Amino acid sequence: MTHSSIKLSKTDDVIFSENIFDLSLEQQDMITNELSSDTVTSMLERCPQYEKFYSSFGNLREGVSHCPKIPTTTFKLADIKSSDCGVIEKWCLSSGTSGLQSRIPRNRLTLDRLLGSVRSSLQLLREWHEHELKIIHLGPDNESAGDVWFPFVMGLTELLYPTASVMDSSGAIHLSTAIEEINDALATTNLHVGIIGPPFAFLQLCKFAHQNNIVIKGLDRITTVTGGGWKRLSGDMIPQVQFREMICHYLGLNSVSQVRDAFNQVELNTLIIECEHHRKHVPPWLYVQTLSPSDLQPLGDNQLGLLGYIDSSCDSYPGIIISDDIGIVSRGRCDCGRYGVFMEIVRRVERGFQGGCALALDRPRVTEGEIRFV
Amino acid sequence: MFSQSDFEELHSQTTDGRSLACWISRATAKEAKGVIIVASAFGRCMHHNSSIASYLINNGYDVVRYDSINHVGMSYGEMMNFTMGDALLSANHAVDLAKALFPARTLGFFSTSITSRIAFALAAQRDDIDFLITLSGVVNLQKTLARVFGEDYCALQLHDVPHQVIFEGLSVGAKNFYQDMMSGNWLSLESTRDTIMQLKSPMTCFASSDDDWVEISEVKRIFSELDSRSLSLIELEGCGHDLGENPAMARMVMRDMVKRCYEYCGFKGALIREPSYNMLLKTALQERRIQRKTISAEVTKSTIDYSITK
Repeated sequence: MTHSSIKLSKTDDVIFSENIFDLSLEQQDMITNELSSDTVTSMLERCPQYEKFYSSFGNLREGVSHCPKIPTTTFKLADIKSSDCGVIEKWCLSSGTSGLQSRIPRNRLTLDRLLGSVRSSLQLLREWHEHELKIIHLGPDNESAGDVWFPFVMGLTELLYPTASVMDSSGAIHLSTAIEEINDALATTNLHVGIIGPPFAFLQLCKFAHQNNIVIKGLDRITTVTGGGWKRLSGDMIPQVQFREMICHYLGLNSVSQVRDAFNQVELNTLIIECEHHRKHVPPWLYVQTLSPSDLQPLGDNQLGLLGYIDSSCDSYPGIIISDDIGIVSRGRCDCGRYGVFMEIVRRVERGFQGGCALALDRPRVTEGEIRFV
Repeated sequence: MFSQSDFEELHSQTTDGRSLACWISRATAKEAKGVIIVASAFGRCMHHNSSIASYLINNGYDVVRYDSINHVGMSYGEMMNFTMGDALLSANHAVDLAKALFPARTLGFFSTSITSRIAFALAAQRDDIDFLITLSGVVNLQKTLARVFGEDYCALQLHDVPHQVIFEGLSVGAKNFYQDMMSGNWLSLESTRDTIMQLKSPMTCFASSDDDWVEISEVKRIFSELDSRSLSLIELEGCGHDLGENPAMARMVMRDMVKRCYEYCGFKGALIREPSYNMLLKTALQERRIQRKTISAEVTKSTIDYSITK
């Protein structure tokens, strides 16, 4: 008999392991510190653009909390990738709400890890087998989503579960079809029903049900997951608590714990999802912190600031970023019983401030098509 | 370039008149290096093997996939009547079909989990299977079933066995399954070792070190007892039973599997051509849509029966 073995990297061992959210806080911290530190070292070696950016800061205090992070707006103006990441399988685009679209290069490993992240985050909902769940997607199917990031990520659920996508390629959501699919699944099967989509689509669905006196009795058989934000419809935005209650009412749900939100952005390769107590649990391969908007110095837990990340699941580009979101990071034991790190998005930075943020960095000078660092 | 979403669906009658559904994907004839039969794992259907099929097609192999009869999928019958005997009959029929469609080709058989226990028996019975590749292959069926269901039904008397058990949301008729396993001598580690001893073809076995359902120590034990040069064991470190949950490891296994196929077919060292991510995704989605449409009625019936488990 011949005997050999195949082994994955430390990062993959974590991303593809089971029950990652059941680890103790100490175990999670240890993993996060090790992987994020390795990621920074690796990207300094493999991404000349990041290495230049990093070097331009001169002497830095040690530790991942102080390492320079790339403003996400930079990805709108330059293609940034690791030099030895192999074939780029997909250039992923942001929705372009504010005009320009971010372009993120993803190789196979990065895309595989994204799917691992989706699977892990589903552990915070409930683990359904393929034959136990039907998904109604208030967004486009994979073909219509193209390279636009959030619809693409949402569309990946079709790999796992039977999915009906009710948005056509023109962007129209067929609400009556959605209602039919939901009520049909509830009436003729014992399947659980998952409804996923952007919050504005849920708002339209609820309005449609209200205007047409449609009754849906989801009871404990529907779980909803919103994601992707309000985009250009931010004027319609409803505070989270009211939004959950609205969905609960119109879908006839037993509990608001069945209404969850997920967070992701095109520059981030990890999906972050709420537990039943509406706290977003951060998996340990993702380091998240808040930074002072005025000088980008790291802030402590529970302090409001710009959210910064080191995403160790990114292989083909440096997922070492400062986002345009203001939020809070905390840690400890959640009411759901799991230990870990939690993040809360409070709001987007205002446009004027967004520019200010990039200026505050005063490091990258960006010209169209490439990034230059001085 | 091969079109990976193209397959021909065949419904072929088994010797006892039941319909076996197969998806036939053809490599271009002049380049075909062999034909590989890809058996669906227990509780899985042909579409779950879309990536494996794509890797093989892309590297010059014809591929025959099938769903066992009395199993979830497109073939005759349903899981309530599943037996190992029917699974073996299905595998035999798939080989006969592949031999008829692709005569004179080197023929390999790929199987996963419990279906590998079937594949061991199949390759021990026949001398026209040129090589075997197994993934997470079950070697101690009684122990695996006890871990899957949380209770060792095989240790019970027939009258104590429930009418049905639930596997990943699917109802499986337990009494038929039990009787067939007892009469077919499928259960023990020793029976698997004895079967593998009769293999006439070389075999590569991918086994995961952290598999909750198959103890790798038992796999190593029977392989070391056999001490055959035609057996290769590849240990997947830190991996669990279902590679579908670990696409990074699955990709490495598929590359290695193609390499093994090349070696068995006399193409050692040939370049491995990876299908693109977009192609794999497109194919996977298309095949899922086709098969889910077909099986939705069966699954609906199955899940509604859930309340009468005992």
